[in-house]
Amino acid sequence: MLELPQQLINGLWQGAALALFAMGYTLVFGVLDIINLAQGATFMWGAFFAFICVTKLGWSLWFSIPVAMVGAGLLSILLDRLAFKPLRSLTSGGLVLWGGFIVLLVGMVGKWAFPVKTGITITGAAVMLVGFVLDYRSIRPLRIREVPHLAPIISSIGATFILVSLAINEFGAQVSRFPANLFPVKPYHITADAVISPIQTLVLILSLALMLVLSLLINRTQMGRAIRAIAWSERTSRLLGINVDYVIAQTFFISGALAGAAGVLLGLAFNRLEPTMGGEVELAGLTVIIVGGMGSIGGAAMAAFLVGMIRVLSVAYIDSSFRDAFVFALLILVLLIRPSGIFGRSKAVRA
Amino acid sequence: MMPELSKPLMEIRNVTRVFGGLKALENVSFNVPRGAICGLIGPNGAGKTTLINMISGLGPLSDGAILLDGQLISGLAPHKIAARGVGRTFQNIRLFGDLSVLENVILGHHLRQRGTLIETLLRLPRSRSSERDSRSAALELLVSLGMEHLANVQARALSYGDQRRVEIARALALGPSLLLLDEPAAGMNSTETDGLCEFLLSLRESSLTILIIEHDMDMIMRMSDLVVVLNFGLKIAEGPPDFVRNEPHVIEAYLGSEQ
Repeated sequence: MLELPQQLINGLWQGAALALFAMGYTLVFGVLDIINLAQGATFMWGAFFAFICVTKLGWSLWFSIPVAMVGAGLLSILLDRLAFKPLRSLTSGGLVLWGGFIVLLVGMVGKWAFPVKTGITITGAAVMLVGFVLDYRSIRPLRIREVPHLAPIISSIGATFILVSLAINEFGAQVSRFPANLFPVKPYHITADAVISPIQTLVLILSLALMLVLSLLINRTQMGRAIRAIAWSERTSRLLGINVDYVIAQTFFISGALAGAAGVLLGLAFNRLEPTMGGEVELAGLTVIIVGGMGSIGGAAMAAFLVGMIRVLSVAYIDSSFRDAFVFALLILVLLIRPSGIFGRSKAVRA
Repeated sequence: MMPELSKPLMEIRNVTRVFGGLKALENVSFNVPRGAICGLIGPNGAGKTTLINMISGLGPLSDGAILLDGQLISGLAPHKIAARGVGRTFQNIRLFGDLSVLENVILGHHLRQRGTLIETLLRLPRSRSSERDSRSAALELLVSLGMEHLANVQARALSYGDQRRVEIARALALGPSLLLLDEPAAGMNSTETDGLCEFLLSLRESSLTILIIEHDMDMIMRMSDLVVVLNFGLKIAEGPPDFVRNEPHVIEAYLGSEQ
């Protein structure tokens, strides 16, 4: 049984990384009212982007982390264009694009013989391209949101399949690891028997720094104001001359970059990269944003530390198999007592 | 330059808008002279708000054209029309309730701020100085409306009349050449309405053109240089306030015919 101070330290740095992930998650929800379930896949690709930079390209870690963040941010914009944007505007082009997306998905995950698989995949990609062009040609001045709320969830699950399949194809299903000598391992002693390793320190510091940057970006800059304005009313924002599509793309970039950062940091800290690594953080992140109040960035940060602590403490003092049970017990408790989340406002107040 | 100035700022040409089988606007034409306050009146359902929506780019015209400064603006996306210098307020207030009053006004200034994500992140000088400009311009606007003490209050906490004034400030922050006001005095008491009138008249001094929908006839007759009257989507009268007030068609539209 390990000492409490040590567990609190573990909960703190894991909570910080989870906070990065969850803040990006909740940011997109706040702006577009959609849950981007492909956030976990973006997280995983962020880790692998850094892995490629370090192992294949031989770049330093300090350079690889920002590159991975930018990569994950761009991936997130691409996801928006392919999986969400066609749903926001139900144009004929959007429908064609969506159809191509499904064909591509079928082609990539199906167990077909090679030529068939390639054929279907290429067809899907081609149809998507046609749809993209059509959609671009026919974007209406005001988008009609008649698409059911379930549609983006399903399309983001589809996108997750694609991204995970691509990663398995590229890196294999087994665990990949960063080179062992990448980072010093000698831990710092905080108290006599509570230690924190350099990499965990990095996770904590970088996460807190990014949280601060995000908070300044959202609360103090014109971009942040535009993001909050669109979250309140997309239609009014358009009328005021805000380029809504551009701001949405920026939102996805920020969200993806944060997920990517969390991916690199947790990938480094556990030195375990696998294509399915997004699944667990996805669920934890979903809990976090619901507990924190959907769309509330500060709430997500707080709830992430709470969930991080609960996970670590339940592993240390109860049983590692109960880890998720406690997290979801918290989720159910919050949903029963305060359905809008601890820091969230109810829909009635929002409207 | 002189002939330029004498040309109307906005030309509404044969504008028709059909919703299903209903003609909300039918062949409406008039010009808004530069620097004038133009009142748009008519009974409920006359098509006034529809016309303002058409001008600001909310939905396509069924027929006709709208020109600003001699250039076609109908058919452009709303944000492009805003960029051409058309600011507006809404009949049902559309402030960003989560943002402070000052932030709402600064947002109106958005178009003048250019700064990409990277610049913003790095807080490059351009981004920082434009942020400062927007902030001081927004504060100035609030001061001129006598609302500076409310700058940091969340917009949804304001009274109805104050919310309307913030909307006007936000529209003005855009730096428009044409201001569209949809019932700006609704929900205001008579003191507030008087204050609003004075403020709008002072805007005309600074050569802003205003198209205003209002049910308060005193206010319209007192302020307008030109009044356009709509009824059931048709323009039934146009002219100076005194002329329009005595038009038989207008009296009939408002009071019913005598038979």
